[in-house]
Amino acid sequence: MIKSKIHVDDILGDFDSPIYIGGGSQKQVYSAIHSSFGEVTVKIGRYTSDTEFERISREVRLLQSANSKYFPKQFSFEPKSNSRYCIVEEFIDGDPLEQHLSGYTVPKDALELLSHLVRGMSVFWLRRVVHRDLKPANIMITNSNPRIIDLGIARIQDASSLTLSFAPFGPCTPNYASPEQLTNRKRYIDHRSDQFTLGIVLGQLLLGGMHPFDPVVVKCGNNIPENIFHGAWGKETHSFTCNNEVFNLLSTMLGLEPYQRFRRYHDLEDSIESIVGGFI
Amino acid sequence: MTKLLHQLGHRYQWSLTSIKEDSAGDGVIVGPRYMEPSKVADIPYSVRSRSIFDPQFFLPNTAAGKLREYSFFPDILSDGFSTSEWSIDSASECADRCLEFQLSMDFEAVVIPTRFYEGMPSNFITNQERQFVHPFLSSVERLGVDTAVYLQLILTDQMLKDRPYRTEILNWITSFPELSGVYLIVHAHNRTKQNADIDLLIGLLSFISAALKRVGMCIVIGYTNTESLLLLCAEPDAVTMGSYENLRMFSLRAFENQDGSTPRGPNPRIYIPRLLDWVEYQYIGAIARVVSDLDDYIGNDTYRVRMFQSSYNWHFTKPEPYKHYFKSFSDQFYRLHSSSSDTLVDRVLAECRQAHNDFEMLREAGIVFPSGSGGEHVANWITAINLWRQEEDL
Repeated sequence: MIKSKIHVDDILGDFDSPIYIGGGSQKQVYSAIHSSFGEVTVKIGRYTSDTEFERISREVRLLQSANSKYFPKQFSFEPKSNSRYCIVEEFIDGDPLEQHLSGYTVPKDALELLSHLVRGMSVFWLRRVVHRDLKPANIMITNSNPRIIDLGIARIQDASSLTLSFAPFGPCTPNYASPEQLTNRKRYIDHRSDQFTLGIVLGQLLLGGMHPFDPVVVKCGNNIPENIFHGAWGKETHSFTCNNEVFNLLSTMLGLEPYQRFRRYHDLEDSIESIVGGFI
Repeated sequence: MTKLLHQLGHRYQWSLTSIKEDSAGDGVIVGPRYMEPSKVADIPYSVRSRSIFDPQFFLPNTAAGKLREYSFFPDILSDGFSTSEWSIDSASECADRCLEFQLSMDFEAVVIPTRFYEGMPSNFITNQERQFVHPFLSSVERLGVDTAVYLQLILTDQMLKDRPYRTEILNWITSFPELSGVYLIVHAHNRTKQNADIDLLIGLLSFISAALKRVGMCIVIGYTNTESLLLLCAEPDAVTMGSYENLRMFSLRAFENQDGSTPRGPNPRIYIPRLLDWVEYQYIGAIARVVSDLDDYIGNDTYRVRMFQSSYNWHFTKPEPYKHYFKSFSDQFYRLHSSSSDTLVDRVLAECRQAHNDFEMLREAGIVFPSGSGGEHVANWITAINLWRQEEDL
């Protein structure tokens, strides 16, 4: 069955100058002008079940409660007729990191970006919330600090799951998933899983955009998830243009098992700060 | 620097006087099985503040000995513990009372208790979390505990030898940012007097070094015999020494027994530091005939002098052999630790090789040691250290 496009005109009527940014059959995103909030992002979507509506509500509540400069401000969230919803949030003027991956090959630059991302995520990690999808497409580069978007599959540890899943792996983007996400070991999906994903991002920045688990980099394996599963990254095969401290940081973040990574997020923060401090 | 703690049990006063009079040991692990609350409070603050309390919930449905005097012990609190009836309220009350007691005694850290599970049960983590870990962590938050928090673990030899199981445990315990460390007890199924299981020792060394030390968790290993010296290689935060054998080798027997009876009467034995082993006292004369200077082997403290008087009546309930052990073992421990020659691992290996050679020499001289006190473990220790070292690339 082909899904019909969401009807948005009635909702967009409340805004000035809407410009289509992107989306698909289930969600459309616009930039627009709001009479009170100025330039905003308007997300109009369709939910297919109460569970999905609850998941979207949770994401909005999380972002509202975070009130952090690293995440878009949430102005409103409303259910609309015909199983639709509308989110109005701060417009972020920037591009996703995936368009800037080659711009951070200097370790200091890469680590400063990483430091921002860790500081931003720590607001959620403190509340035992895991993003689970910290890929470059969800990191926006702006003129000020980076912004993290799309907490759609964030997981609150200890909270009961909204979905009953028997999938071989849990919700994630496989190329940016930790081994425990790929094997769906839910008990161990915590801030260390996000740390692993940020390790992939750091490796990718240091390699000028190449994925550290890419078979081309590793010189073995059939695909990236397979290499992630086996802990095979360019550790031995690729020369990273960074000093030992940065390489050790990367190695710890990419530990195959969660216990091999930084145990507490502030240990990760401290380690990054210490290395960045040494560059000055 | 690794600390040496006394594992307290029956005759705990021997340990306390040993700390006071001989400066043997850095603190204690208090065991309520043999010690009522008022006696815990009697331990000098200077010792308590360097010590921890082991709640000994190993068998929560059996309040053996003095355990029945602790209102937070599960069997006492719920008037007959059963897993199915252990409610959230009971667990919370237990946690609050147990932590409040530990805090009131000014211990160096508070310990979240554990219960004992045989083998490698698949529900080990789930059960530990439900019964004690989560209620205690909630209580830590509720009470605003700012003292270090240790999680107690009893791992069987099977758990430690099985790499995937060990990994699961490591992933689990490192998932709690609230924890500062682990108080680990090893339960070996068919143990000899000395821990000589090579795979178990490698597993234990790996557990300490590759994991916990690397991620900054403290680790205290309880109920250790002379393998405390071997464990020094991985530099845990503390290891232990104890008087009777049941304090140097974890066993449930003392916790199954409700009547508080004393241990069985073993042959009196004496610790010989140079041999890294306990030897039955009748062998002292034989060893003295073969070696040129017995002091090199046994040391020359006041207890040794007292024991070697002809009028001394050897008996396993007399304090001298144990106080001698505390003194000579702690001297050996601190000497190994503080020396700056070679690496710590090399120093421990050298100590083992010397013991191995000395046993060979004694055997060649005609001494036949009974099984269990002939240094059979030393070769296994050397092997375990060598293999672990290779695995760790040290």
